Amino acid sequence: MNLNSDDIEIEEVLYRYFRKELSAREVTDVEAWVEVSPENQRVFDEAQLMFLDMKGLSYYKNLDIQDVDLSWEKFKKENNVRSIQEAPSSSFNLLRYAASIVLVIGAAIGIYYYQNRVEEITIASAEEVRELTLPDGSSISLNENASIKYREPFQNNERRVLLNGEAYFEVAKIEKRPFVVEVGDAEVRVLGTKFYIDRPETTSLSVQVEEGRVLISYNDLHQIVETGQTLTLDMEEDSLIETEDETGITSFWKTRRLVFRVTSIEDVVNIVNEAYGTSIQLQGSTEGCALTVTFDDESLENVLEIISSTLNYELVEDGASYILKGNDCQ
Amino acid sequence: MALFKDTAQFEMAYKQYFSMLVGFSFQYVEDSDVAEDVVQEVFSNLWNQSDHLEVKTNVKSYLFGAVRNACLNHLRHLKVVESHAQASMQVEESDQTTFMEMDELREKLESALKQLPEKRRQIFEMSRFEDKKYHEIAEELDISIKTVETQMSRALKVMREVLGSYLVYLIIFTLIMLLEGCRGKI
Repeated sequence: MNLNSDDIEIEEVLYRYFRKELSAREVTDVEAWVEVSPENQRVFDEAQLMFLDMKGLSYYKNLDIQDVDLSWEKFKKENNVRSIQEAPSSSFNLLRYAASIVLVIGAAIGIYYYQNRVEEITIASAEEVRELTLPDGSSISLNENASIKYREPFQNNERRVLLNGEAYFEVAKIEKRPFVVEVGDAEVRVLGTKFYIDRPETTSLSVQVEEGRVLISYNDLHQIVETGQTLTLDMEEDSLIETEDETGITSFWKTRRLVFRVTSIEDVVNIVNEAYGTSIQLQGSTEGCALTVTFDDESLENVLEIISSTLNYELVEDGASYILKGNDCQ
Repeated sequence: MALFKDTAQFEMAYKQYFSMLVGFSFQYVEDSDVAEDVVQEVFSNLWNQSDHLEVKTNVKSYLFGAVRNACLNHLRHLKVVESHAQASMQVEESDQTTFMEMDELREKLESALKQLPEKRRQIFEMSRFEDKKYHEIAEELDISIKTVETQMSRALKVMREVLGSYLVYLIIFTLIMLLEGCRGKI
């Protein structure tokens, strides 16, 4: 590790130093470097303050429950805080007494509601995929133009969120507090797992489970989806069917990955169009053409380049879109 | 009392913010007893001096700012104690009225974040706010660890440039520390 190269590297190394992600040897190097000059010490101090503030601010948004009443009692004792005012002594006593009781009750109700107030929180993604963490530690990736709504704190011993659009969930496992996603009239109930929710149509919903199991409920339909399964609910037909997603199109928006195994070129083009939101056309004769390839975070141009060169097709630009001109593959 | 109409109002603020503040304070001092003491101390100052305090935005922002300040004081104290273990001396309590309120600090950090290009900000936030390790970020975004490292160092550099003026605060802090150090030796 060279700490004397330039500022860029030092900032980053210090960052990992504060995160305690450096090896023992690197830690010694950093500490020796700090001793070299007051300037180094200053850089170190600034980096530490920035680190602490960012840490504090990321916590600032979350909450945590402590025994507040106990600490308030302690505080009152130490600071001579008197909650009840001076003792009544005149003939107005009764009236004043009554009035103060009303006040105390009023304040108590006020405090009760203030502390127990429930906030409704809405988080939406716009043009970009958005990652967020819920107060229970579960994390959600919202696909473009999706939103979730939930109550803070969660109510009735369950973690219920309302979903609009598509999302990927990694649910923190908390026994006896099920995680429930409401999608229209349908409900997906889980205990700690990773899964995608997709909306191929406004009247359908598909759930792909990456880890664990989830329960889909819609009216009287209930079905458990196991790891690796994808189930599609058709709300108009009242049906639930298992669907295959070998290509990974369901989760493409998050993984940026497509897998084709001896897939016909027609299917490949359809799936690429769906994934990239394009309308690439296939022309010419494509008899017997199939592809086996994995695209990992490739640009559309690269994908088309690979397809056309593999199958010996011609790639033609057509305004903002492309045309693939095929040759038979037999 | 200028800030609070009565005890009940103060009690309400105490009960509403106490846990949040302790959690927040813990992020700085990493010791739950100290975190709680710091928060009690801040409330105690607020209770005893609320006539003289100037609150710029709101009580919540004031409280978080005051807790942050008290935590930094505590850390500074630790550092001084550590480097001059034998010299018995007192670190003066800094003037509680001059510090940055939380809303100001948050605005500064957010405007610094906004300067980052989208991808870099994403990587930075995953590391800093979601507490993910470099290899986890690399895996999740399907990029190399080296790329995460480069993006992080660029992000940190920009953040520091944008936050430069507020970091001056810390330089004063270091100067005080040096002065304390001299006094310790005399």
